[in-house]
Amino acid sequence: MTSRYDAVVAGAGAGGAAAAWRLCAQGLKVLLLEAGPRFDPLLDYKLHLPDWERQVMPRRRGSQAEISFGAFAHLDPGERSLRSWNAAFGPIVRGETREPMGPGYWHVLGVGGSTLAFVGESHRLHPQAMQLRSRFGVGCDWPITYADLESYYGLCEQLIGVAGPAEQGARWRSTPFPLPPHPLSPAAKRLQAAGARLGMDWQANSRAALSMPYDGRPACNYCGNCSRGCPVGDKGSADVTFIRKAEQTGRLALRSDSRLLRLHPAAGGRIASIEYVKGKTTYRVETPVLVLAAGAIQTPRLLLANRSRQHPHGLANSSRQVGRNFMESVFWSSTGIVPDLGNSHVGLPSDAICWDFNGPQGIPDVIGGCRFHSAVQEIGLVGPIAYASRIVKGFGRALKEGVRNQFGHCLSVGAFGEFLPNDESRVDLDPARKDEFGMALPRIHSHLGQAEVSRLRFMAAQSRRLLQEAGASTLVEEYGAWDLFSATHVFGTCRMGASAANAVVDAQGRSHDHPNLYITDASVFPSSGGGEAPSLTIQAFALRAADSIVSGKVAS
Amino acid sequence: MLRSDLRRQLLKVVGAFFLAAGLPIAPALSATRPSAGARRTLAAFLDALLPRDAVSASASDLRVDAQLWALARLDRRFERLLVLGCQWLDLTGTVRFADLAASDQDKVVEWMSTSDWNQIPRRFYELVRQTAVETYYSNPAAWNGLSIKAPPQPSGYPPPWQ
Repeated sequence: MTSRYDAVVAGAGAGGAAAAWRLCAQGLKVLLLEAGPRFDPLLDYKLHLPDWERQVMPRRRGSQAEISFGAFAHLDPGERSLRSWNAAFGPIVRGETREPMGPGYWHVLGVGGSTLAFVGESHRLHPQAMQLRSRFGVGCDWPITYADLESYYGLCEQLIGVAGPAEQGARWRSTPFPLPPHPLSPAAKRLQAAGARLGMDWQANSRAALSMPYDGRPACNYCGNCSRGCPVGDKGSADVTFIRKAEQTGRLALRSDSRLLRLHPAAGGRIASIEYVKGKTTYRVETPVLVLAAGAIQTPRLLLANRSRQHPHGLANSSRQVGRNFMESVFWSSTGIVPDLGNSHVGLPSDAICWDFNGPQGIPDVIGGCRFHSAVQEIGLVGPIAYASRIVKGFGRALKEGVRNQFGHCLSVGAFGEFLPNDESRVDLDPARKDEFGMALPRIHSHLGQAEVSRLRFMAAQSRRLLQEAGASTLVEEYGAWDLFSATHVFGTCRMGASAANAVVDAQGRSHDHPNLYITDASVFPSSGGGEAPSLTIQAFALRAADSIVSGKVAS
Repeated sequence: MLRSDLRRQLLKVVGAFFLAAGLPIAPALSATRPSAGARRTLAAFLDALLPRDAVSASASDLRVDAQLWALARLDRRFERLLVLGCQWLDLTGTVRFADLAASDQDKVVEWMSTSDWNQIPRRFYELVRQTAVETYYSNPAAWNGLSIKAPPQPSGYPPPWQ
C-alpha cells in the first residue's frame, strides 16, 4: 500500500465507512482514520457470559469520547406527567432541571462507530420530512429530495442485507428489500394486535439484521441484545459491511486508534494536509480530498478547534453555522406488565413499527412526526438484572418472587420524534475542559422547544393507550426526553444547504469554503426526520457524496 | 473476580452516586477498614435483600458479599459507604443487625427504603441493592424459576416462540 492517498476519510462509523467503500470501489486509494479501537466481536462482546446484562456496549480504551454539557433547562412542574420513573427506583431525576442519562450522548468510537451499538433499524426518511420549511413553514429544507437519495438507499440496503416488508407507505422504492422481514416476536405481535383495534397499522420494521444467510454472513439467532455488540455478525454494523467490502478492494488503509487533530488549509481554501496522532507519534498526510465523518458532535468540534488567524471562527465556518442547529431525536418509552404475555425478551429488538404518525403533519396541532416501535428488547428488559433493578420494587422474598413472576411479561412501546432546530441547541467548545491532546471538549447545549414537548405529550399518551389496549395491568416504567438528555441520534451541526450564507456544506456534502473538504455524517442533516433511525440516510448520502468526489476527479 | 471492564463500570456508578449527591457523611462516624463484624453485618443485610427461598440461593450463598467487598477494595468511597452503612445498621437495635430476628431486619430495611434520599441509610440501601442484584443475578444459580436458562449467546432464542 502506497503512503499517498486519493482521499482521507476521518471516522469509520456509518458515514465514513460508506464513503470509504464507495471511493475504494471506484478505484481510489483511501486512508480511513478512526479515533477508537477495532473491536473483535468474538473477544469483546460478552453475550455468552452469565453477567452479560451488566454492561451495554463493551468499553475499550479510547472507545468513548469526553463530552461536556451546557446548563439544562428548569423543568416545568406543569408537565410532570412526562417525568421519567420506574417502579423500583421511583423518579429518575430528583432535581429541578433536565439532566443527562448516563453519558447523555450514547456513542462508540471504534471501527464501525456507533453502528456497533445500534439495534440496526434501517430507515429511509419520510420524503416530506426533507421539506419542512417550504411545505410547513418550520425548520429547514434539504437541498436534495428523497428521489435524489432513492437509488443510494437501495444500494445500501443491498450491501447491508436489510430485511424488510414489501411496502412502507410514503417511502416509495424502486427495488425490493434484499431479504424478507423477520418474524415478529411475542411482544411485537401483542402490539400489532392491540394497535389494529385502535386503528394503528403496525408492520415488520426494516432491519439491518439478516433474516437468512447473506453475503457470507449468518442469519440472526434472535438473542435480542443487538446494542451490546453482535458476536454473530448478522447485524449490519459498518465494520462487517462497508468496511469489510472496502478492505476486500485492497485499496483501503485503515488506521484505528488514530485521532485526527489538525487540518491545514492552503491558499484558495483547499485542505492541503492533515495531522493525526496514533500512540505517541504524530503523522502528517497530504491529501487531495478530505472527508469528515466523525458525527454531529465531533465533526463541528474539530472544525471549531482548528481556528487560526485566517479562520478565526474555525474551518468551513464562514456561515457561522458550524455547531448551530443541533438536533436530537425526541424519545419516549412506556412499559407495562401484561400478565398473559410471556417471553417478551426474545426476538429482534424493534422488530415492529408503526409509521402512522411519522409524516410532518402526523401529530395533531404540531408540525413534525413520530413513529412507534416495539421496545422491550431495545430498552434492555432482557434479563433478570433489568427486572430487579427497574421493574420490581422492594427487597426480600417479594423482590425475588417479583422477578420470577414478572420476567418476560413486560411490554414496551417506544417512540422517536422530530426535533426542530432552535437557537439554544448547539455544540460549541468548552472553554474550561480539554482532552489529552489539548483540544477543547465539545459542549452540547440542548433545549426542548414547545413543539418538542407537545410531541412528547402525544407520544406518551399514545403509548399508554396502546399498552392499556394490549392488556397491561399496570405501568412499571416510563422514560422520556422531557427530563433526560439521552441522545443516540444527533444531527444538524454542519447543516447542508444551497447557500454559503447559511449552510456549511452544499448538496453534495462539500464545504462551501474548502473545495476538497466533504462531510458525510448526520451533522449535515437540515432536519431530523420524524423519528427515523438515521444510519441508512447517512450512508446513502455518503455514497452520493463519494460519487460526486469521483465524478469531480474524473472531470478535472 | 470481577472483570476489569465491569469494575470500571461499577466504580463509575459509585463515583457518580457520591458526586451527584454531595453525600453528607456524619463526622461522628469514623470510617475504617471493614471489620469481621462489618462483614457479618453486610452479609446479613444482603440476605435480607435477597434471602434464600425454596427456589434459589441467598445472596451470601452466592458470595455476593465477598464480591462487594472486593469491589470496595478498589474504591475507598464505596468502602467508606459500606463501612458507614454497616455501622449505622448495627446501631439500629439493642443487638447487631445480623443478630436481629428476620422480621426485625425486614422492618429496618423497609424503613431505609423509604427514608430521606439525601441521608446515608437511603443511599446505602439504593446503592447496595443495585450492586447486589447485579451481582446476584449474574450467577446462573439465581435463575431458577425464570424462563431464561442460559446467556443469550451462542444459542440465541430462535423461533418459533410461544
